[in-house]
Amino acid sequence: MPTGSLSAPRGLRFGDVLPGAFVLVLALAPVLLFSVYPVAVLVANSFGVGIAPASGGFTLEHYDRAFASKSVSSALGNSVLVAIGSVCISLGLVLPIVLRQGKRSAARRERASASAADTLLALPMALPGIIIGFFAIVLVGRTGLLGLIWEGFSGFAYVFGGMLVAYVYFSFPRVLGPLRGAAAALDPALAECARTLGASRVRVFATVTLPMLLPAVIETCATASAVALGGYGTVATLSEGVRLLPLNVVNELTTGYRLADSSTLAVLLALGAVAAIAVGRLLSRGAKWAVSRA
Amino acid sequence: MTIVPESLAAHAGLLIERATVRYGGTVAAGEITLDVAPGETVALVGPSGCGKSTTLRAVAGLVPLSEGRIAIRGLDVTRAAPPSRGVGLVPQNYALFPHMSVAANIAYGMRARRVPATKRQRTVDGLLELTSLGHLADRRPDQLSGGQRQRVALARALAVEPSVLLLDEPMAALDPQLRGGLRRELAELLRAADSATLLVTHDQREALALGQRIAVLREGRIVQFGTARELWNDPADALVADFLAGSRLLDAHLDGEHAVLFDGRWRVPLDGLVKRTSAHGRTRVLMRPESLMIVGDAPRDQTALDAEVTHTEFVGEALHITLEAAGTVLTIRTPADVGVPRHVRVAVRPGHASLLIGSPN
Repeated sequence: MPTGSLSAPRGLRFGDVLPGAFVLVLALAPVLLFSVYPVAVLVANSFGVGIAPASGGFTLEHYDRAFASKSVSSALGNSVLVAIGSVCISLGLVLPIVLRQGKRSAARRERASASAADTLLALPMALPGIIIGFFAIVLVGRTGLLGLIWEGFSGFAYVFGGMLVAYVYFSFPRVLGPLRGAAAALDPALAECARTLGASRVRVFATVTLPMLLPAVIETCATASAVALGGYGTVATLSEGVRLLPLNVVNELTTGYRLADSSTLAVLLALGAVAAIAVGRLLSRGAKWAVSRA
Repeated sequence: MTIVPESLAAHAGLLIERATVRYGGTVAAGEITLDVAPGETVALVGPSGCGKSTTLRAVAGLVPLSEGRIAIRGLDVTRAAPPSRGVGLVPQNYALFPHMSVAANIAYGMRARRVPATKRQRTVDGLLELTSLGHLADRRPDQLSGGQRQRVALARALAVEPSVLLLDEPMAALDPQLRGGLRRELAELLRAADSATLLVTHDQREALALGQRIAVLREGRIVQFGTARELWNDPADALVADFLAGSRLLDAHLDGEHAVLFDGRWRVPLDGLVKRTSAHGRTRVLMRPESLMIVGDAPRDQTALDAEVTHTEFVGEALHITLEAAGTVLTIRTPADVGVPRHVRVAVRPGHASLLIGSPN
């Protein structure tokens, strides 16, 4: 009877030396260090059990104050409106671009002019929010370029509409990037086939393209909204008009070092961002399921 | 010849007249002229990049023509949008809508054309039965095999009762083992439909099996268009001979009782050749793999040719031998149990090669 083993001879492998769980902990260490601990401190601060001067003892006072504050609720409302509004407007601008790019051949996508256009479209991603705020001032501030052309633009940067435009510029590449990938993965033959079967362009979009893109659209928008919700640089530059919640967070620190109140607002902001991402994921899964059951 | 409206109107199927498609400065399809009658299948064959899929896409309205015209059922559709052409397209990857069931895929075109629900359901049921997909009506495309997906794509295209059915490499995505059976199924389904069918393929067996007529394309132009038998027996040039039948077309001239090839190095007795009149000018000898035999004891005269074996391939019941003789590559099929030395003498197997006698222009 043969005694040889059928399995391949085993050498000493990295995975044999380091157990899987240990490798996982090692990989998660930076995340734990930079996310979990500071978040825990923030939460502790917000309940008065954190680090001084937010260490007076457990209390819900800071949350009571935040929910009762008109300034906070106004800033929170503005933040939500600006985040969702800017992402929705960006989506409206991005969809035709990605659908058009999705139809291009790989060769055309690699052409120098197309590549330059893609870089330009992605540029806001590389710019800090503070620079985007500066762009808004230069263009539609009180002495901005467009204000010189038409007086109505003068000071537009400091009203809600101006803030929204600046955040659209901020959110645009964050919506464009993931959706471009999703649209490029769509098989152009699907839309072509639908057209030959008698469907109008609108019908093809509604019944083929959109259902297939919808999960990616929802998830992308949710993530971009979460990022816009926490964006500080742009609103810091344009702070004299509309107030957004990140500005309140910093204000609580810079004017009187109210660490517990600042932490409370930061926790609310973080919860909003996490909720946006979680709801997005949930809706995206729901959309996938609904589309597959259509 | 310039097409005139009367000739457009007279054709009940598909008529393509001098159709040219350019991508920038490149001519992807040039001056393509062919017709397909209702109920007929025409196969477009040729090597990759020869313009066959471009021609198909032009008929579907997915790429614009630079020149020429396309008529379907007597109507000029050259500038018509894809939805109004009356075509049914089966793309190479079938392009089934992944988020819809088999039944919804089949019904898609009818919904788009606002066909009443009762008629729609009747048609879907009929096509499910025709394609033997009834038990899979609620399945998603990703739950189907390649052959089943092919049948769904075909049923979806047939559901809109197209005047012209366009099939782009319908077997290319299938395992080679499945193709034989599915080719027969496809032939049955095409027979059941009354559409003019344009089939793009690079598989000569598929073209011969499914196409009543075949158009061979090279570099965007039609090299030859005719019935399968015409192309088989009288190929216009070496490409058609090689592509369709794996044959060699050798220039020859007649000298008494012999056809003389390779500048006199090979003299093939005429009584061993099947004589046919060619519509393509020059006199040539058509050599198929079964036209040649190895002759070990042949007399050292010019009726046999010295050749060097460059490759031997065992294909089960036979050996495919590639030879080089007089600077030309020839192929020969011999019984599998024959030993093949490196240097051989070959002669024409009587009655198995054709002499295509050129008609004077």
